[in-house]
Amino acid sequence: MMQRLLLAWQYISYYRWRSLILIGCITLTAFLPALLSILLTEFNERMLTRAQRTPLVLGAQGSGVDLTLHALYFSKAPKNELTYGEITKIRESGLGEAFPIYGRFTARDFPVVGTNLDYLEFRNAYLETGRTFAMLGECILGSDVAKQLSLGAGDKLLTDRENLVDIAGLYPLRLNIVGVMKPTGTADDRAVFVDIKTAWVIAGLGHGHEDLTQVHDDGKIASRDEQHIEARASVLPFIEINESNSGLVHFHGHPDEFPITAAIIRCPDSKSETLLLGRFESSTSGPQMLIPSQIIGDLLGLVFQVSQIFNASMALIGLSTLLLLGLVISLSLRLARREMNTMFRMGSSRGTIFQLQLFELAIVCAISAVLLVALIALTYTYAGTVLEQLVLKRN
Amino acid sequence: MIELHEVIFRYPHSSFKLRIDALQIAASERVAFVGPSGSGKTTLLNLLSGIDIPQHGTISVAGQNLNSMSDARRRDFRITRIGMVFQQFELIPYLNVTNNVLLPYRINSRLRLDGGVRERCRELLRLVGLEDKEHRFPHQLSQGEQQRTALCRALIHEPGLILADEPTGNLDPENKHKVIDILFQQTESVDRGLIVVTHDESILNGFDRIVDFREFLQTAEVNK
Repeated sequence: MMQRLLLAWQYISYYRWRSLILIGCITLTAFLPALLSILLTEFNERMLTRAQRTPLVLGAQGSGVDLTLHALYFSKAPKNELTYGEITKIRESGLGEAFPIYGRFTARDFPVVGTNLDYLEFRNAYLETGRTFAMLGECILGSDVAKQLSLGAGDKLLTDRENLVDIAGLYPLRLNIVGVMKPTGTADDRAVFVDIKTAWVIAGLGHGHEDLTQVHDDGKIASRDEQHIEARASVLPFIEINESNSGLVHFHGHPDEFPITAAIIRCPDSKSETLLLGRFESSTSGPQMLIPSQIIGDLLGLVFQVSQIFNASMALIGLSTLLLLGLVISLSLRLARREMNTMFRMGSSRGTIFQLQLFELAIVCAISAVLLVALIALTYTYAGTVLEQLVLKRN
Repeated sequence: MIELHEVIFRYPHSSFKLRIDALQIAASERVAFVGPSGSGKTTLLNLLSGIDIPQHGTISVAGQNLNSMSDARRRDFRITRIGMVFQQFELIPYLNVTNNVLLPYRINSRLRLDGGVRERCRELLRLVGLEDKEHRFPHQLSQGEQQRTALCRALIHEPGLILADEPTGNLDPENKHKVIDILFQQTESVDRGLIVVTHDESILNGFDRIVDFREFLQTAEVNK
């Protein structure tokens, strides 16, 4: 039998390109439905798990899916914003805790999430190194961000400009990295966390500059009286906030009027949850409150329907591939007829010749199976990360 | 010893009929079958090798009656006792020279491939001048080299009888004589029988007997 196996292997290695194409066809035909199934399972699991761990989401009117994905995965922020005052109202009502999210900015393409320390506690996200943010201008990095950018506590990270051609736009802020989070296997690993006030500084709602009462340069001061000092554009805001200038940072306005892009609400009991939902349900122009597991459930239902269509088309592709394989094999047999006849005339049985053909097919199938297992293992390893990067990336 | 007695063979759905009343060939005899195309030379080789079985009569090779053997036994007999050489060489394109020579050991478990066989393979290749081409594939060889490889394949299992069907049909004069010399050398040294079917009269010197199928038709009643 070994001799026949060796012969079959020599056939396959001699006609290597033909064999490789055959192996590729079989592997891909089997792998594509498996890939879809694994990705869908992983996608469902990840989406539902995070959604189920997020009781309620508050946001401005607009797409519920966009709002939920933003609150859960820091995807692109919804166009409409709500004010921080909504959070204050919920806190004051005693119906739940609220964790703000202001996620309109990025730093080297990773989302910068303005929130508070309670959010990290709510997500069971703990520090691996360093400390949590304590003053304006400080940030902590999700584990993937730290790994991919090779940054750690003590390093700096500059936020991205919103629009490179808008010279009157916002100035970037150089963030001081004070800590790195432990990996959580969630979207938190791929975010940069700052205090909500730091996020407002990035948004230009708060800023710091040199003490104008001490400046007497007419190039910088437009007018001055006992109450007000009007500065010229040549007075630049601080690009970095540190201990020496943090006292000079100030906000123009009340925090309750400042924007947030979403908020996560946790109620102490189902009664409070029902009351809160009822309060926002009746509002048609104000903020909307959503149950993420419902939104994600609907989304997954849609994905499942699409996958059914894909599966049906894959079955057809699989069938046509099988027919093609049959054709290729029958053509190969026809080409090998003379060789088979020679072997028969030399003293080989037809059974041996059939065994030889079977071994050739078995080797091709075995190589395809090994490749398939390797591809499936790779898919299992990277499915979650790839999914979140491809499907939920900021775009 | 090869003996044919009152043999009648016809192919299904064909008017061709080969009839041999009696034919005897000694064990170490070197015989050439000559004659026009379609006179039954190759058919007779197929009968002697057990590929085809006559509808009537008996064929005995080395004391064994081929008619009474099962298919499996005839195959075993063929691969252990007979070396086949074909006009078109019939080398396996995906096997190199060495593996083509060793093919009989790969397609029938009656033959055991061991170190001794491999050494014999190297000796044969040296003998036919292919020792430096053992890793080449058939398409990388000249026609003469291909036929010498086919000769080595027919000799590797040390058969008692070599059946060669037009072994020089596709060769130039130089290679033609080289191949015939090797066949003679390999039959002389070990008392081996050789039957060659040929149209080429230039290679007939050296055969013990020449059976002209035109005369044979009259004397031995080979009929078409």
